[in-house]
Amino acid sequence: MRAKYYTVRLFELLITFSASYLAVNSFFHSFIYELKKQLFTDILSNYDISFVLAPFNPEAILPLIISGIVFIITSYVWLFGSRSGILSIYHFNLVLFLPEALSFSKLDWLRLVDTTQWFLTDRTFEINLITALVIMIEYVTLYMTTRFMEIKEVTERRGALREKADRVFVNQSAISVLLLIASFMVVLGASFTVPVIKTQIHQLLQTQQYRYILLGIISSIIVSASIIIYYREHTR
Amino acid sequence: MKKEVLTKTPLRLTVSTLLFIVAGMFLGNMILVYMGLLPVVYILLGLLLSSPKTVEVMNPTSHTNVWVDDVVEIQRKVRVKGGFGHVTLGEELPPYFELVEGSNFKVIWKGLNELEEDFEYKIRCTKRGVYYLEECNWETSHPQDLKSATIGESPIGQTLIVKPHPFNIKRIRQQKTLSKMTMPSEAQIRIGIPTTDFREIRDYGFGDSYRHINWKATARRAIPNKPPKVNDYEMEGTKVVWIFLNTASRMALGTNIRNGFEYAIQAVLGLSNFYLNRNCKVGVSFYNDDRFATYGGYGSVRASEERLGGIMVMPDIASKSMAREEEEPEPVLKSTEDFLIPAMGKRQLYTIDERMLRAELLQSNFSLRQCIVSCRGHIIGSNPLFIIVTMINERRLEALLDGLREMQKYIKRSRMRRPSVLIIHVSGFGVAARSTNEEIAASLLEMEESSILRSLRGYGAMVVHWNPSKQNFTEVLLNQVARR
Repeated sequence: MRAKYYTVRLFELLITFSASYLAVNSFFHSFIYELKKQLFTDILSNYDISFVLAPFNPEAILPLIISGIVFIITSYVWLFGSRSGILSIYHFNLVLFLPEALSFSKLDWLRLVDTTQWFLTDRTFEINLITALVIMIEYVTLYMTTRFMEIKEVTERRGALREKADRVFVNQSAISVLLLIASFMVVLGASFTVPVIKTQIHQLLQTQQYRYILLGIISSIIVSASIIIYYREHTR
Repeated sequence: MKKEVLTKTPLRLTVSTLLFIVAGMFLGNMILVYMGLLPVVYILLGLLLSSPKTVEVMNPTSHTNVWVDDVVEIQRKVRVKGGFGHVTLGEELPPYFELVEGSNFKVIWKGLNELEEDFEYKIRCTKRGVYYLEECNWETSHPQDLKSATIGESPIGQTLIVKPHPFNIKRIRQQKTLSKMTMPSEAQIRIGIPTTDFREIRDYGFGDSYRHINWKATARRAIPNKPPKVNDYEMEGTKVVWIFLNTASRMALGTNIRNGFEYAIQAVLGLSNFYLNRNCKVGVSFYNDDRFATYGGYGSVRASEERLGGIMVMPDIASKSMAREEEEPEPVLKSTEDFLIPAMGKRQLYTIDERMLRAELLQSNFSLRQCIVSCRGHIIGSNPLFIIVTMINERRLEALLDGLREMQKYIKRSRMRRPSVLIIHVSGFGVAARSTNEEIAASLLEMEESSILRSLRGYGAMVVHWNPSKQNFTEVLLNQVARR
């Protein structure tokens, strides 16, 4: 059972580093990275210290530096950080990923105050979606594993045998992995079907005279029904 | 059973991801919307799973009889049906029980199939009594901790009867010794039907049958002007022994498990066993000499008790008793609750065992004299042997003497001049002493007591001083054997 316990921890580690890798990769394709790269080259030339990195191409060395920093931070938090602070890896990855994710915004609010197009990327929507979902899987995995670890510690403190507590932890984690895979498939499926449905609904609504009113009524009914069902379930 | 509600886990996950959905809608960014959607789908799928539905805990044995300090294996069979998730089981142990092996708390995982598992652990019963293991508490949890745990209990109904070890007093068979172990006076009369149970070899006396003369023993011990030796057999008859157990608070001197009262109970059981095996009728009565108000002879023992320091480990009961001392004594008659009428045989032994299991400190409201008076009807004419199991104390000496004076009224002087009152003094100070200094203090207190014990012999009582921490009860009684 101890071996299975370490397998779960290894899975957690794998997900964390995969998410970190994808987030860094995403960062390198964002507009912010381009700015940083420019800034980095300017600093080297302005202060006349480009000889320090003379044997290397500055454009090639910057990704290595950033990747190294991310790897060190992730490893440090993983190895020496407290269990409750492990979610900071996810937050860090999210910060790296958001600049590229924002490139897919349909409403660019920043353009209202400035004409500069801040968020641009050369990668596709699908790659970004996969990255986003892996980061979210990382978040749920870290959150749930932390919770399962707490449960394990509590049961051990209450007098349960370590082997039994480990078994519970492993089974909880296994179910969590299965649920995450299912959720990933559902969301991925939704991402492919939503555009198709959206086009169909759009075509359908084009024929309607008062489509906004119709949409409003349908939405109100769905929201009201959801609230009523929820309260009925919880006051039974 | 508590109803399942959502825990903080789904709430926290939803709230933290709701921001993505809102931001996605605000910016028209579908990636953010899908990011927020993943934990929501995870929670919805997780909520489709349900925690285990029913937990049954079965107990194969309803009654367990054990001795004090015995290790008992508690066995349960657990059956869990329906749902997924882990089940925690816990049994509350009665006080004075020590967990020896395993754990009375267990966590098991319920997978797809119906689960049947054994739940075992070992406990040591450290104090006599009747204990009830009434129910096993359980808790079923959602496999992903998305719903609150369901708490319930399954009835077990196991009774643990923890009996104290009686001190088995064996017959002294060496011919060259003479047992001074006192017997009821009525046993020494020559009338009655002698049984085949050999008791001892003794000097011929007036009224002895010639058939009982042991010629070989007489020849071996042939001394001029000495009577011949006769075989003495147990008589079938109405020998009566009354055992009085003191339930005063000071009897609790010692720890909760090893204290004077517990040893006194073991002594009572041993003595009952001994006399019942010799066809005596044995009656048991409980008294409390705290109920006798006296204020004399306080100083010297008090000073020694101050030196004892931490030995007094049950201050609550002691202070309660001291407070009660100042109240007026209230001798409230509790009918037959305070004594067991003398009877013979195994049935009486069982009754005494049963009564001793439930014996408590301060359970009697009678002083020794009141106690004798209350069962006077059963004493008159039986010329019994009185045995008092107590912890003699200078402050309570007057109460004991008062009781002894009352006993004298029911005792006929025997020809053999054997004492008709046996006082077993359980030295509690020795029991309570844990360190070397405390042992020295206990020895000092015992020395003080010895003068009191000597004074009691003047009342025709045989006093046996017993320090349970150093001496075996049988050894103490064997000291009453003298060589011829």
